Amino acid sequence: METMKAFWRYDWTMNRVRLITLAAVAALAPWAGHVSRAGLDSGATWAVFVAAFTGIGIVVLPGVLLGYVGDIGRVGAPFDFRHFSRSLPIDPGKWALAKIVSAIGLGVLVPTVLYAVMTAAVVFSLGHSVSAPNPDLMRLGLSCLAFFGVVAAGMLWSMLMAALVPFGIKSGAGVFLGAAVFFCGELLVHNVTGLRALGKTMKIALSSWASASEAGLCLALAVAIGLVFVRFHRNRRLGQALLLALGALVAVDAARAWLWWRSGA
Amino acid sequence: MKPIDTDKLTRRFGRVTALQEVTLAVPEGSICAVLGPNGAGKTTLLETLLNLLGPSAGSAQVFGCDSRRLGPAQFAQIGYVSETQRVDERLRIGELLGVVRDLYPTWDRALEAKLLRTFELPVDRRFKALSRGMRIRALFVAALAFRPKLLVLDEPFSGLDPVMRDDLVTTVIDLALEDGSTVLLSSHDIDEVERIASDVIFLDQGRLVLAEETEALRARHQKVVARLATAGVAANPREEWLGFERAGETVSFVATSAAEETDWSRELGGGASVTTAPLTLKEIYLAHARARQGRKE
Amino acid sequence: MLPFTIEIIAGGPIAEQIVFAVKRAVVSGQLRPGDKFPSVRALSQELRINPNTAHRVVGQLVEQGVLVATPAVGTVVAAGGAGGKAEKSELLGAELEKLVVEAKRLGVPLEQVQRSLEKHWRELEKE
Repeated sequence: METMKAFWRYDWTMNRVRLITLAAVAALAPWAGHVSRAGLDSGATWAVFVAAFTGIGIVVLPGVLLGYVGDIGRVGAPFDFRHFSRSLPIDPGKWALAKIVSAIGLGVLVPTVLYAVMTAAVVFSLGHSVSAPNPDLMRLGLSCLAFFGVVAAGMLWSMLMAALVPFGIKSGAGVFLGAAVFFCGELLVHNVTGLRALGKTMKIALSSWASASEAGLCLALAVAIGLVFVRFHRNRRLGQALLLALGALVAVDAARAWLWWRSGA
Repeated sequence: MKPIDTDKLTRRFGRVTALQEVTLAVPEGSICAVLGPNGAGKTTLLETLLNLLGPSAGSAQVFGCDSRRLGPAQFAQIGYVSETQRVDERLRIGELLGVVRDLYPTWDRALEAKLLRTFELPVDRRFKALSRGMRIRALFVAALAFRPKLLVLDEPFSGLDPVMRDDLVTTVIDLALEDGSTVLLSSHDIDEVERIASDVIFLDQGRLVLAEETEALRARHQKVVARLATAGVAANPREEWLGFERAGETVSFVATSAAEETDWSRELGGGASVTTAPLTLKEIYLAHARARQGRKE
Repeated sequence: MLPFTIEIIAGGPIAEQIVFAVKRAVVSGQLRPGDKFPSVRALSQELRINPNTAHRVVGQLVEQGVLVATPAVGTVVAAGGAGGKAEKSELLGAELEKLVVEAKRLGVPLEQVQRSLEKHWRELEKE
């Protein structure tokens, strides 16, 4: 536990600006979106700025999150053997676990919850319908969960990639490559081949069951990646072996998705 | 149980062998200096002992625990400072101490404050704004404030001005005195560590040249200059004589197994007029290093 | 601050140099019988030497009767330890030997050394 607390102290010291930005943007986006739309409808110029703010915020969010996850993934990783944390009395497995908790809890969960809560607040308090995929809160909840699952798995994957990057290569390269591969894979699996398709997919009202199973699968994937991450920190060789296995699984899935896409389905 | 004990410790990086079957033991409570030129393997040795690097062959034991299995219980008693350590440059000195403080049960707040004062460290300054010397001093505070039973220092004096070096020396001596701690420090400047090292280890190109108590080492080495009466002896210089030189009837060499009672006139043939002189640690090291060079050619 | 003067020459055996310096201080009166001798810690700190070496020094001095360990007070300079004629000539003898070796090395004959010695002796007496 001391190890984890030490990591969180360290994490907060180094990354509090990023984390606050993530939370702030996620919390303000529904309001800003609503306000700017209303303003634009009535032709007010200030609305443009608010809309711009929302747009930038949403675009910046993945970048900030990836940067965060890449940083903490790299710091004190098994290949980062000269980092000062490597000679501290810490349990490497718990250190890795603390990173996972930070990445998922502070990086993904907190912003997602804030976003969902604020969206619900906008819907309820203003009585307006929002261009959310489905005003039905239950479905919204499950969609959020599915979304959360995908992002969580993606972030953990990126964090693992950052930890694996050999010494000398900037962690950014590994993270972005990892994230890109992961999310492209996700998009392909959902038959998203262009921006328009992305827009459509986000509006599709999946049945509750579909949302739930999607969420479940993603969370299972996130847990698997998390376990490999922890194991890698405890025992580098074993971790690398497990990663190979996981990578093979992902590759097989990606190949399947690609073939399916190729067959024009 | 020795604090450090290695058995044919070997470490390779691709085709380069940085440590070659190094077997040594560091006595408890000693201040042990690891000496050698740049590239001798000093940093690699220290990093392998603390499991920052894994051994390619052989093993090392720290506090009786295999180096590959060092965990929080052992690291709570080990302080490590190296110029090669990475610290996030945006961290402030006080923040670093805040992160590590609670990890050590023996952390002494008063000592921390005293060390910050002695080393004149501004607690609010970020690492990226620190000079090289201040950076090392900040890492010292983090490594000394919990009174480690084993202190491992990699080139601790480089980048320090004479006053700070002196402060570090007295702090290290204090630690050895008060807590009976063991100190293992590496340096490529031998004169620097001569007085405080109770034991020395010489490394050269990854190999262990010698590991001995400083006093014993100094006692058995003498510089011998002699004017021979008979020419006989010069023909076969002994193996334990290093750097044997001859000019006419005068010979000079470094004796490596001398004793106070060594009768040089007998060794060199009766009638030889002999003067002997002690050697500095550096001179002893150089004699051995040159001899090894010579043997290779 | 140490109560005796010493200048450590690098390369020589440190312990011996310190023992010699202490004996000289006792002979010259810089250290008087009953004076408190610095602790191992102080010795080690002041001279920047390994504590074991300091320990050995004190041990040797006690063994040779120059210092005495008293239970409550600590280590003190012994009475009549190193002030006797025998010690004085031993100390002087060491210096003389150095002088003779140096003179021989330079090839200075005995008479010249004696003349030099007298000259320096008289000059210092004037001060």
